[in-house]
Amino acid sequence: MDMSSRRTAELMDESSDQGLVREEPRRTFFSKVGARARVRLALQLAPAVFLLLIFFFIPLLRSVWGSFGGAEFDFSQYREAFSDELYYAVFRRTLETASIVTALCIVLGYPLTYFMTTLSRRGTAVLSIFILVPLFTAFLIRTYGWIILLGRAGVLNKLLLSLGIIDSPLRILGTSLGVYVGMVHVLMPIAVFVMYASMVQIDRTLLTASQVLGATPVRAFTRVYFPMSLPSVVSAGVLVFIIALGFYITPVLLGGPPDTMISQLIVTQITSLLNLKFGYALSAILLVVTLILIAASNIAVPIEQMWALQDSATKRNSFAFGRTGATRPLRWAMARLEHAVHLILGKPSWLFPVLLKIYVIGAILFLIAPLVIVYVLSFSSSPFLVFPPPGFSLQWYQKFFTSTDWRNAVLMSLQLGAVVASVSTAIGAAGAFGLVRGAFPGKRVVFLLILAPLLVPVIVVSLSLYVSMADFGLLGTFPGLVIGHMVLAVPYTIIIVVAAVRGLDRNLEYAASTLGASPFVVLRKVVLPLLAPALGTAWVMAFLQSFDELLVTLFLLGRQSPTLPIKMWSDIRIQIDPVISAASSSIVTVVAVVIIASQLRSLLPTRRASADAYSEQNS
Amino acid sequence: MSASVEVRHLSRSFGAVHALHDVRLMVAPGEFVTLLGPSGSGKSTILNLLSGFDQPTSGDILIDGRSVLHVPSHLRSIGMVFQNYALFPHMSVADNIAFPLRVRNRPDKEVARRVAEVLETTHMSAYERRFPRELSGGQQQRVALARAIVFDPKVLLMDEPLGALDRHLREQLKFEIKRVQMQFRMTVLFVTHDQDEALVMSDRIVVMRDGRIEQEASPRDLYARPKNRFVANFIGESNIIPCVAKGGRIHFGDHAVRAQIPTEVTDGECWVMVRPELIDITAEDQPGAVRGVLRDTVYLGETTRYIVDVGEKSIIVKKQNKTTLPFTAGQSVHLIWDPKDAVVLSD
Repeated sequence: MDMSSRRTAELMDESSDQGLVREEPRRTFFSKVGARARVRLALQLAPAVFLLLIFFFIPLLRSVWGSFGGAEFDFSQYREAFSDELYYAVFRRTLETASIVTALCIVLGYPLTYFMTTLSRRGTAVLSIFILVPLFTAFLIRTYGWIILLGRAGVLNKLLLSLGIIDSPLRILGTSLGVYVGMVHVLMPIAVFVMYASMVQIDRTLLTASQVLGATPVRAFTRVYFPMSLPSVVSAGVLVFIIALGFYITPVLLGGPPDTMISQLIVTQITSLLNLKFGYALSAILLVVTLILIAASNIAVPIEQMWALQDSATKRNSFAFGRTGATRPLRWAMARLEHAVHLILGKPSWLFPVLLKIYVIGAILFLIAPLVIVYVLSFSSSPFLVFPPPGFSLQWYQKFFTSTDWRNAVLMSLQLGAVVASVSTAIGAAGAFGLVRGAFPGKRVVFLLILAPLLVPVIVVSLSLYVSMADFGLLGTFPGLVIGHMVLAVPYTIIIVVAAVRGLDRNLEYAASTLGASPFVVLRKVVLPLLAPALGTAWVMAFLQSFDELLVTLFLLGRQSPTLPIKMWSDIRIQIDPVISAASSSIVTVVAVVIIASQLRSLLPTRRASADAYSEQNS
Repeated sequence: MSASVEVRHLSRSFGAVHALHDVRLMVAPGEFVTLLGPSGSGKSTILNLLSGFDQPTSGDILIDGRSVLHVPSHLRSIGMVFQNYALFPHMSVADNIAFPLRVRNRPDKEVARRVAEVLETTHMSAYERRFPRELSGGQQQRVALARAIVFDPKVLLMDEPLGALDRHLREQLKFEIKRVQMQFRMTVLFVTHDQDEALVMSDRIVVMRDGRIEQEASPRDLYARPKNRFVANFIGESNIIPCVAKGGRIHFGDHAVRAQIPTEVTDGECWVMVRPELIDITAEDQPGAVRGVLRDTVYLGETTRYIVDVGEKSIIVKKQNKTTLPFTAGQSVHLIWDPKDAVVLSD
C-alpha cells in the first residue's frame, strides 16, 4: 500500500468513526478518561517534583560538577581537602562525633521507646508531649539552655558544688562532652519517634507466647522482641547519623575549637572566604559519605521504611539473630549472658519494671531540663545568668515584647512560617495523592527524589539552594527564602499526607459518588474533612521546620530582616542576654500549647467525649 | 422509581486478564437478582461497571433502556451498599443518610422528612445522632442501606453487604433487606458468594465463574437442575457420580443409573448429580438400586449423614432424624432415588 492510499484509508477510518458513534463510543471516551487521569497525576506531582529538581537536584549536581571545575576535571580542591591536616582532622572528627552521638541516641532512646510501646493510648499521649515539646523547640533555644546548664558557673556545677560532690567546677561547656550532650538532646527524640513508629507494631503477644513456650522474660526479649525491633533501630540510626553529620549550631556553641564540624567549615568557605569551589568540594565529599551510608543501609532496610511508610519493617524482615547465623561459642556466650541478666534483673519480678520507670523519668528530666532552666531564668531579676535567680522580674519579657528588633524577627519568622507551611501543605497534599493513587513507572524514584532533602545533611541542601538562588537572582529575597524553606518542608508534608491518604478508604469516595456527589463535592465534603487532621499536622510540621530553620536561612537571608533563629543566633554569640530567655520561653509556651492541643483527643478519656468533639466540629 | 437494567455483551479486561467476558444480563423492574460466584468470578467487576467506577472494554449498560456509559457515577442514580458499609466516619447517622439529598440541594424540610422515614423503615430512629464507629456492625449495615435508598435510586446494588456480620445477624438482615425491597418494589442487584443468601432472597440467581455466566435461574430451578458440575458444587451439597453414557443409557460401574436422560446425551464420560437428601437408603435390594457399603454415619442434629462407599466413589445420604435408621458401619446397603431427581450434568 503506498503512502497516498494509506492516507486515504486513515481518512476513511476517521469518517467511519464519526459515522458510527453509536457503535464505538466507549473507546474514545475511555482514552479520554485515561488522558484525564494522566493530566491530573502530572498536575499533582509537578509542583513537588519541579521544586526539588530546580532548587535541589540540578544545583546539587552543578555544585559537584563545579567542585572539579567541570570539564577541566581539576581535582586540586579535593587534593587540598585530603592533604591538609586541618580538613582531614575536621572530617574525622565529624564522623566520630556523628557516630558517638548516634550510638548514644539509640542506646538511650531504645528503653524509652520500649516503655512507650507498653503504654495505653493516654499514657503514650502524655509521654509524647514530654518528647514532642523538646523535639519541636528550636535547636537554638535548647542549645542555649545547655549553655546555661553546663557553663563553668552554670546550674549543674553550682548544684554539684553545693552538694559537695565536686570541689572545683567541671569543664563541660566548650568540650566534646558538651557537644555530645547537646546533640543527643536534639537527636534522641527523633530516634525515639522513628523507632516507635515500627516498634509499636510488634505483636506483644509473641513475647507471651515465647514465655509460654519456656523462655525466660530476658530470653523472650533478646530472642524475639529485639530481633524484630532491629530494622527500626537501623532506620533511626541512619537518620540520626545523617542529621548529625550536618550539625552546625551545637558544636559551635557548646564545643571547643577541636569540635569543629564540617558544616562550619563549609559555611566559612562560602560566606566568609567566598571560596565557592572549595566549599563545593567539601560538600561533595560529605554527600558521597552520606550516599554510601544510605546505599549500605538500604540493603538492610529499604529507605521508604525509615519513616514507617510501608508495611512495618518488623513484619517482613527481622534480622536472623541468635538463630542460625551465630556460631556455637557465640550462642553459648549469649545464653550465659541472658542467664546472668535474668538472675540479676529477673529474680524479684518487680525490679526490671521499676528500673525502667526510673530510667524513663531520668530521660524525661534530661529532655526537659534545658527548657525548664530557660523558663526559670526568663523571670530572673538579674541581668546575668545567675542561678537560682536572685529575684522575680518581668523586665526581660517587657524588653522582648517592646523591642522592635525582636518584634521584627518574630513577625518575619511568623510570616515566613505561615507562607511556607501553607504552600508546602498544598504541594505536599497534591503530591501525596499522586504518589499513592497514581500508577506510573518510576514511582519509587519520584518518591525518593522527593524525600532526598531529608536524606542528605542540611548543609548540602543549603549549598544547593545557595547556588540556585544566586542563579535566579532570588538571593536575599523573601520568595527565595520561602522556596528554600519549602525544599526542607515539602518532604515532611508528603510523608505525613502519604500516610493519611494510604489510610483513606477509597470506598468512601465511591460511596459519595454513587450517592450523587460530583468529584468536587466528594473532595470538599468527604476527602478534605477526613484528611484535615493530617493536613493540620503537616502544616504544623512545615511551620515549625521553617520557624526553627537556621542554616538555610543563613545562606539565603541576605539583607532582609533577620528571622527569629538568626536573631537569637547572633545574640547568643555576642552576649548571653536574658531577653533571649524571655523570647525562648514565649516560643516554648506556644509550641507546648500546640502540641498539647494536638494530643488532646488521645488525652480525653471516653469515646462519647470524642464523638461530641466531632459533632461540635460539624455543627 | 425502579428501573430495568440491561447489560449487553459486557467485557472488561485488564491486559491479558479477562475479568468479564461477553456478559449478557437483564434485570426487570422490581426484580431481585443475585450474582453468585467465588471471588474473582467477575461479579464485583459488574457492580463497578454499573456504578461507573470502571469502564468496560466493550459492551454496553442500559438503565431503563438508556445507555449510561457516558454518565459519570454521581449522575447515574444508583444506590450502592458496600461490603464495609463505607459510612462517612466524620458524619452522624442522620448526616450520612441526608448526604445524597443534600448534595442534590433538596430543601431542608424534605431532607428531614425523608431521613426520618428511612430511619423508621430500617428501625434506626433511636440512633440518628450516633457516629458510625459507635454502632455495631448490624446497625452500620442498616444505616448503609438507609443511605442507599433514601434518594429513590433507580437501582440498588449490594456488594456482599452481609459478609462482615456474624451468622445470627446475617439471618436477621437477610429477611429485612428482602422486606424493604418488597415494600418499595426496588430493582436490586445483589453480589454474594454465600449460597444461602442467594437462595433466600433472590427472584433469580446468576452463577458466575471466571468472568462468565454459568447459569441463570430461579433459586428452585438452580438447586434442582444445575447445568454443570460447577453450579452443582457451588449450590448446596451434591453427589456427583462419574458415569459412562452409551446408547442413551447411563452406567456407573456395573449399575445402570436411573436418571432423566436428555435425548441429546452423547456417548462417553458424563456426570450424574443427586442431592444427598433425595436418596433413600435401605437394607434390602430393590430394582434400580445401587449397592454399597456403609462406611460411617455422622450425627448433625437435625439430620444424619450416611457415607456409603460404592466402588471407588463415596455417596453421601442425608436423612432427617425423625426415625433412626438401623444401620451400622461396614454393613451392606442399597441406595435408591427417583429418576427425576438425578440430573445429568453437561460437564
